[in-house]
Amino acid sequence: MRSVLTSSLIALSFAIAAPALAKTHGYDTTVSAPLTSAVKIEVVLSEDMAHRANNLPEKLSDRSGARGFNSGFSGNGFYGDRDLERLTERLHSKFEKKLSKKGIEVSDTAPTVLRITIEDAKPNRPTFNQLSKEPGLSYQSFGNGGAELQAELIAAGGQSLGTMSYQFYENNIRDAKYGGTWGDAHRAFGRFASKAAKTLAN
Amino acid sequence: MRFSKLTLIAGVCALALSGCQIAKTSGKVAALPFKAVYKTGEFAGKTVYKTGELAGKSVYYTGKYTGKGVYETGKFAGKSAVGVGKGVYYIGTVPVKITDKALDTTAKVLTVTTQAVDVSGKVVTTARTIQSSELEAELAAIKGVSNILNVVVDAIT
Repeated sequence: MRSVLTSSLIALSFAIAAPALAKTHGYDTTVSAPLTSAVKIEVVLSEDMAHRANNLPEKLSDRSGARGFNSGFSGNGFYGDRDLERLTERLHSKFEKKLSKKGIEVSDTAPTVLRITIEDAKPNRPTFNQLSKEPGLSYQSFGNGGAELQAELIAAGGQSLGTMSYQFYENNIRDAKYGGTWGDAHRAFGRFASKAAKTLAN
Repeated sequence: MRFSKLTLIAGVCALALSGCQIAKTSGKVAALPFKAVYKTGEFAGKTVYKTGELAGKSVYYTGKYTGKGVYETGKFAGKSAVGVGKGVYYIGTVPVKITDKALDTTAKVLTVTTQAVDVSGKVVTTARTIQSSELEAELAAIKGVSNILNVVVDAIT
């Protein structure tokens, strides 16, 4: 009787923890059917990211306690238009490469659209715009980076075929000072592209 | 005649024997200082030799230990960056490294490079240019601040 009770309690706790465990994995999708037709890739920035190109985040909680109005690196803002453009280009090329590798045709004229949104991205080192905004800031500064991404597969008629999301934020600062400006964000792009291509191919 | 010959031979022999005795005696006398000198020389030589050997050993081991010491110091210095070494002072718990150029007090303008950790865990390095007369006030301001990792004061050349 006792063993049955114990095993049922363990099973119940696993059932409760399952969504949380799945969430820590970082990747989530609702796409059920494989993609058979050609697809067009669109990469866009979220409203918040577009705002942060030349401003600090609107929410004070996103500023990581930065006190200065020009401290973009500490406050997760002032990324600069050029850096964000490069991020979108990189994500686009990453998806193009991974989908082609899985046999999915990528075309700019395809009726099916894969719209990828960069919800959040954090650099490991100050961007050029952040350095120019805060002259005392050194490029030797470093921190943990990462990115949060969402993608939606939209059919020709406009109906959604499913969504995919992924987030990766590095939590160990040990290697942060050896990487480039967007090292962890680029890693997130690569991983999301791989996982999304696998989902769309199968 | 024959007796006189014998007497002469005996006298010569006696003289010769007595001379040998003298020679033997003087030989002993001469031999003693020689031996003493020899022994002294031997002991001195040995002492010198041993001393040299010990000195050599000492030098060798000293060198070895010195080498080790230098290596370890370098290792620790490398790890803690500015934690140990010349020109490192502590203001509160913050290590402040002042370079030789800044220490000779001829420079009027200094750069203060501060490495600090912010709330999100980012290590932010900022450099400020100050007048040398402001240095004391600048360093006094970091006393009691807990998020500063280290400060480097350098002179602008």
